[in-house]
Amino acid sequence: MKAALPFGLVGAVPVLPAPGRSPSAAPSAPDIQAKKPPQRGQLRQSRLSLDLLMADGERRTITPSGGRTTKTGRCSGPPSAEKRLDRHRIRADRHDRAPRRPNFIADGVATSGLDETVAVHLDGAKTGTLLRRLVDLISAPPKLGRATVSRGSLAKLDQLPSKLAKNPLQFTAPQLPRCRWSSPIAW
Amino acid sequence: MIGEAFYRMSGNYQNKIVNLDAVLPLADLTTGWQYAYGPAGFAQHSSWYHRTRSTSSRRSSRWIQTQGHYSFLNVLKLFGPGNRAPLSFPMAGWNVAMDFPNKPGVNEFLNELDDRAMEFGGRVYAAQGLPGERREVPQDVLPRIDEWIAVRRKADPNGVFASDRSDSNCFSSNLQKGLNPTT
Repeated sequence: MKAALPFGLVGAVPVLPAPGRSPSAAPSAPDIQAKKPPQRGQLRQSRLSLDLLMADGERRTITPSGGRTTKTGRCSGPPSAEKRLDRHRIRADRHDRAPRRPNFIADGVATSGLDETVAVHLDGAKTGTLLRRLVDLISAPPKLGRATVSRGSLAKLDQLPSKLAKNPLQFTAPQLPRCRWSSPIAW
Repeated sequence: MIGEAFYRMSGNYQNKIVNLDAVLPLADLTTGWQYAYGPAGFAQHSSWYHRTRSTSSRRSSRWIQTQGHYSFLNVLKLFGPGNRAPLSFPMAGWNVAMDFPNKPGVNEFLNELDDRAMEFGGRVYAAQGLPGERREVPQDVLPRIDEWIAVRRKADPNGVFASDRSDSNCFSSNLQKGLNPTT
């Protein structure tokens, strides 16, 4: 297989013919999409192209246009092998820029109910960037809709303490717990 | 529980320096979060309401709370303007995203949630769905599907490229229009 596919195996996900769907890109799509900013080398805007390697060895290169990032979704195996791919692999040519981790100056607000949460969002949309919010939709009123909202803006160099200011975009995020992929999800 | 924990931990603060990790969605704190969704996990539902109709999202939230299906991780967003992509879901307005455990009755519940969202003048994120049987999503959920079909017909006339989503009930009947019937 390797000889037939002259682009190497590093980063590629082999997909064998299957009667049903082959969630070939399930393990790879998040990496290709750069959906995991906390991880080293996986910040957005870092993908320059994707190579889709066809069963016959043809290589199709997909590149972003208009300043957009390259993305892909899950690819399926063939319900009809005559019409669709019966074997393919996806490889992302990664030219990663140095990972960066910006800092924010943020305000946190814990709201007491849905109306206050809506008001904070409307206010936040005017005054700054909403960074994160979680809403309680389980508790009965009046707690229903209470939320924790974080809002703010990118920190400027002179707003950072000296320790952070030396290297304000240093990426030091730890590798966090990993969920093991065990079986395809039959959506 | 997650929401409760974060609610208690977060509190009020001002001018706090936080890094990127602190403002990412919770799911991004780990890898492989997407595998929590499926028949034995969670079903994700995302709906949109017009910006001037926050009352609709409130009514929807109150109805959800009474249905016995509890979403532990909920995110409320105020979307900015959408983009030019024909199937793009976001557009200016309110977005409510929820994760419900897959248990008996959740299909019917989410179908009704879809209907209510549409009734309130909202939209449903059709790319998120359930593994089980589900009725076809109405055409107005994908108001620009015809534009996408034209792109697909041009780029992939033989229907080589497919995905689980394009094969799903939500999209299949519409996307079949983009296939070349002679191949």
